[in-house]
Amino acid sequence: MTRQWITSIGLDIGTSTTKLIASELLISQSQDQFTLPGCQIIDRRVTYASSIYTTPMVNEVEIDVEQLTQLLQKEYKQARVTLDQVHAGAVIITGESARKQNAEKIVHYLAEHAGNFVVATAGADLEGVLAAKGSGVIERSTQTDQTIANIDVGGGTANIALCQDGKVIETFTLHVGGRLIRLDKNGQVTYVSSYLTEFLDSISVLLKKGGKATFEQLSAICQHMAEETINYVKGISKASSLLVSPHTRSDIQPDTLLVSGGVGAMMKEKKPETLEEVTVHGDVGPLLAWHFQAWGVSPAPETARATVIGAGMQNTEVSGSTVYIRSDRLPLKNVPIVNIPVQQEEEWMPERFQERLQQALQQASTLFSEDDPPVALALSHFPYCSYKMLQQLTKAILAEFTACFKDAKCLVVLCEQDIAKALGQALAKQSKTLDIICLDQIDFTHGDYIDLGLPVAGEAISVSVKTLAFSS
Amino acid sequence: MLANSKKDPLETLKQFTPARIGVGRTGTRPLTRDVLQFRTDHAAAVDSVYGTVPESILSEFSLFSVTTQVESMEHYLKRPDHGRLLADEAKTLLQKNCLQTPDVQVVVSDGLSAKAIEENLGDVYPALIDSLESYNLQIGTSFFVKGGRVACMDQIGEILKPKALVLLIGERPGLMSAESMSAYMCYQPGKGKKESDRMVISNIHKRGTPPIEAAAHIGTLIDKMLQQKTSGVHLIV
Repeated sequence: MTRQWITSIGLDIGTSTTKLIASELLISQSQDQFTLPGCQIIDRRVTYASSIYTTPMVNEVEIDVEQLTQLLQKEYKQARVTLDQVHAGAVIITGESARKQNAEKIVHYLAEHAGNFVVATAGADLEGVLAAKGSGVIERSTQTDQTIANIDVGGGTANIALCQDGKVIETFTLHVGGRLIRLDKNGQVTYVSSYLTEFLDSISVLLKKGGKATFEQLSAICQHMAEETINYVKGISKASSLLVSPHTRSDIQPDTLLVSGGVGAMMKEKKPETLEEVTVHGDVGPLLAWHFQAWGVSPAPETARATVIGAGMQNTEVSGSTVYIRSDRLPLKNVPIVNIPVQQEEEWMPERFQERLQQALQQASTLFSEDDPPVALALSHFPYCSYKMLQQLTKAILAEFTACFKDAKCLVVLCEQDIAKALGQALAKQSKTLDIICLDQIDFTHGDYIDLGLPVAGEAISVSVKTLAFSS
Repeated sequence: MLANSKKDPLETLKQFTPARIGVGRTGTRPLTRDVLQFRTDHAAAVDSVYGTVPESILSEFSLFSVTTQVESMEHYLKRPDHGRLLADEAKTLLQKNCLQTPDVQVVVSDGLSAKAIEENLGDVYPALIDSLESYNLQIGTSFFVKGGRVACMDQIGEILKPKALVLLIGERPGLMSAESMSAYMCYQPGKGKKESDRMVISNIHKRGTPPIEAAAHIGTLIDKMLQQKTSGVHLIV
């Protein structure tokens, strides 16, 4: 058994707050001499947690990248982490901060200042998943037969993940957060998010920037906001004007609702009674927290730092440990994932697979032909793979890949099933010139892009699956 | 996607094992369904011990056959030591037909489950050859040993002097799987090799260790054995 600790960083840049954690992941490779080697992360520990900072802004929407970098340098020093020690980690840019101009700047700037293997990521879907991991709700769902909803309420958005048996089964995001309305202690409104317009109309509350808000108005808004969130999460109402992107609510009704995020952290506090008590942070966060609690919802085991813990500790996974790599290109960043089901029919039909492959790759070639590797083929829905099927897979993949990406010299294939080494060897045998990276046992359901690190234990390499869907 | 159907907790536990748990009873007796299933599985296990490997699969991979000193299945079961020794004519056949001192010698044997070879050889063997070739290893002349035991590797090693040997052999069948195969590996097999010098990847079948991935991994292990000039517990993997 070989074991190795690696350092992983998590950084969460949200609408209202920014925080950082340093953590250590213990990677263990089991080698019992009778089976194929197995590799997994067996322990994750937070070694350092920063204080919670107000996200530095240049103006209302633009993040101050320079100040952010200074903050980061100071925190790395305090955490006693140097850049070359960092083997994994993620910067997650969340909520309203994930606007395109911010995100792209941060991605470029932080690449040099956060460490080589720290990945940048955004996207409400992934954020919900990370928050549910970091809050401890996913783990709790493995201990009961209940469906648990993690509602991560931050400054700008609420990311909801429904969890069952340790898996996230549905995610969605609502425009619900503490800083969608900002005001001073006299009730002078300094900011009302435009996302709230329709909602405020529907509850007949008139609130405008520059106007004055009363305690009763704010109470009504927060109460309705909490109610609408809870009803939608519970599946009682099937539509909401607060949805960030269109979503069809399934019939899954969670048994338990838990709140994480900054608003979750304030739920244990006593009810704010006056405007002054509401506006301690210059927003409506404390009042919103109280109303969630008033609807009988409890805070999650970890609240304010849920997303950053998820990003730092849970975002890194290791691939299977029998893999095939004939390339010196690692590490690779931001490789777009193209998912192709191997077998959708009753039986394995090589022609149908090749058709799907062709279609997907042709479409991808119009978007990502610049980089090399251009894409990572992600093969899902595997039946039992015989030697004959392996040969047919190999032939189809090489034919379609070289046809769609004529200039590409590197082929990356991810398999849901434990066949990467066999497939890699078969691909390498058929193509002497291409660089080939073939990995397996990676869950790519919740991601659009993948980062591939260096081998961490035996042949297994560290990977991060992520989304980079920046809102514009 | 699962709706809110509450699963029976026992069903969840049963997913972790193919063992016969939670099968129920009627009075003090097991259900007819389970008794029949048990007897079917037992019969399949017996069949795979007493079965023979079809000639067609051996000829598909051009494997010639040799025998051990075992004359019948009863004999095989009662005298494991005889399954470790080749018949006299087998030695001459090997010397006549096989490449001497190859990097790696591949041997196939029915062992305790002919069914294991029948079901898995078609996937494991060609993938194994591909894997060994990908490491540029010189592969000896493969053959089949009828009625072999694991330690027959040693005598074959004495005769052909390969640097490493892979023996694909049928495992003792159980009531879960009667078609499970093992791959035993040894660096410079020969007289006096101990169990701790051998390595094994076991439980190779459709629902166990994936056959083609096992084959691909064997190539990596053999390559490591040749580099480190050792095997078994001494090999650093």
